[in-house]
Amino acid sequence: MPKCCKSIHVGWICPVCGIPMIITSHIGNEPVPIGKIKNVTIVQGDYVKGSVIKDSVVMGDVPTDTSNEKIDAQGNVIAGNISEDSVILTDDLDI
Amino acid sequence: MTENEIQAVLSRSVIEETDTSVRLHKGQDYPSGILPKQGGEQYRAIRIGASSLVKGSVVGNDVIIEAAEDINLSKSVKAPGTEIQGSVNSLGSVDIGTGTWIRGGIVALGDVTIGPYMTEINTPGHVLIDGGVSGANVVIGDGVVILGPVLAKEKITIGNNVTIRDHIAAPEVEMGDGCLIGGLQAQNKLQCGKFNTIAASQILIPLDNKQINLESDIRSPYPGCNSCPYDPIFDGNSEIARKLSCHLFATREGNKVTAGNCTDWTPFPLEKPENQYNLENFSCVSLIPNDAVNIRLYAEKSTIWERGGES
Repeated sequence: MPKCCKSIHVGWICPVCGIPMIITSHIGNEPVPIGKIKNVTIVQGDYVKGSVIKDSVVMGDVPTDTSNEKIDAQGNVIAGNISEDSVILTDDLDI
Repeated sequence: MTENEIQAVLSRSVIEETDTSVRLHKGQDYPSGILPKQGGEQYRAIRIGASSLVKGSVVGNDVIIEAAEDINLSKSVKAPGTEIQGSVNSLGSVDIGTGTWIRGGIVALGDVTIGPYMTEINTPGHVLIDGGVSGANVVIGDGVVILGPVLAKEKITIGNNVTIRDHIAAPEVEMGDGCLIGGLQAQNKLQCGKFNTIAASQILIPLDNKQINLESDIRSPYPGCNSCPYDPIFDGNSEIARKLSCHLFATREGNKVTAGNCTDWTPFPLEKPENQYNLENFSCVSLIPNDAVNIRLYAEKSTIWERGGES
């Protein structure tokens, strides 16, 4: 039930103050350049852990020549900045 | 964006489709509805991951919308929950998790189960359905807000503190405590908890009194709230909507509902034969006198509650 004025209520407007219930709209999830992701770990080519991605497919090659980024294609998961259940597709996709 | 950055980007729409299933992953933004593109695809099972956005309607067999999770989106903001910018249409059953906003309605041949609206959790806890809900059996969790009608072929089961702005209709209706309902049609069986409000001034209940079980009176805003002793508190444009959800009628703490300070509210006269008349399948309980000739005189003051403050 909605909560306002430190109390839950029924209806679509708080009976105490008259403010309507507000649900924040989803802003979507834009593609993120992999080059902007720090401390990327690829585990057996299946998982990507990064700072902003989660459960997302990565299309194309992951750049290996980005100088300031740590990419470990064989190592274990790096803690922090978690992204889970993601897949890297190395073939070009016509999308 | 540099050449290196273009080499690999996250997909805008992450969805796995087979002949029998569709799976939209968590936290994703799907740019259209999830719809059949050819014959037979309307029977696919559809699962929408937590905190995703579908920019359209969903059509399939069994549809599951997972409860929202704490997920970061690409713009480094938390996903506000799952959002379906259309309706959910199912040839099977529908299961809606906590943290979901459906901007249309839900229509299912099978059962519809809607999870509870939760406020004391760290993940998105709202459940808001802008349209109506229809199914064989409809189960609505605590605190859910539905702005359309709810219809069931068999039974509607409603938790505590549920808001349904429009009418509900089913052969069997079971309702918890502290709910706000637009109107009621229960043909065979009615079970109702404490401190519920029904906005309509006339309700349809089973003909057989033995099939009616009420834990306390049901509040009708008409006519008591038309002359509310606390009117100055509610003064303003949203007066009607605020009075419908009146905190002076019922006090809510967690899932517990108790009596508020007001004792001037009007109960539906379910025990008074002079306020009832029988139809073919229902008994109509009316707060408008049976012998009323000038119905407009009453309609003006009674229907403002059914309209919820809309002009």
